[in-house]
Amino acid sequence: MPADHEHGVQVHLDRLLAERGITLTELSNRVGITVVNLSVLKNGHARSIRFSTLGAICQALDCSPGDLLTWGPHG
Amino acid sequence: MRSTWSRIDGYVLNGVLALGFALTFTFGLLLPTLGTLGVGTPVDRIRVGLPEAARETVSTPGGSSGRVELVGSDTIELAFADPGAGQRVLLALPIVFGGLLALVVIVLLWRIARTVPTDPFVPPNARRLLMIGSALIAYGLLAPAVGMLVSGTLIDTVGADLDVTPLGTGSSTAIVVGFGVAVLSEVFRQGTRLRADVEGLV
Repeated sequence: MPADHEHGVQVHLDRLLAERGITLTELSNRVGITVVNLSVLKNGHARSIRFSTLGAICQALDCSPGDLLTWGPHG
Repeated sequence: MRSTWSRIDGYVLNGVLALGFALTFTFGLLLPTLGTLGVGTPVDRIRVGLPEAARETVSTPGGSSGRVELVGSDTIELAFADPGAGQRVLLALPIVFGGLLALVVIVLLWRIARTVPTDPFVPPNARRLLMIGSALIAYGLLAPAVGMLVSGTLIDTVGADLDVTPLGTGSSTAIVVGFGVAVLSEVFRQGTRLRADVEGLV
């Protein structure tokens, strides 16, 4: 199994938030996840994500998981 | 989650461990070693076995509880008035052996204690717990062998026709506790892996 920093998954939460004009705090209030955890996700420090978190964010931002997460070998 | 571990708890734990280390180092290692080297009072006695025939039993009619017996001990101390250098080493050996293992356990406990205020659920602590369990098992298994070897050799060095037998005293409790700690260390190790899995989970 590759090391945690070699997973190559990129999180595009910051771009999605900017496109929709939503702050992290507003998103936190909508999805019921702490700002701290959302910040961890936004900054690419998360090592794993619950389906429930993913679903809640996608619902709040009206996007699909593929919009939020992409994979690239140089991530 | 707010930790219930306070700074005072840390002081108390470190104080107890420091006191235990100081006492064990002094009485389990330093004084016996100095005595062996001729500085201070050497260890001059060791417990040996007493044959059945030599044990004394005193009977009394007793009172309302019926007949009572005072049964003599099955062990006795072999005391050397002026032990030679080799005898001093042998006499100190069981104490130093137990003292060294106790110091190892205390140092490992201290290293675990240092992680408590921050993050105790780390793989090194699981390894330290396993080492503590191993040290306890080693003491329980080896202390009787060391005692038997030392007392047997000392009885031989006396030369006189002493009606005593070599004696090795161990601790089955140490073995049981050691196995318990070893099992808990494995539980702890798996717990640290589970914790590592959910670390960074959002």
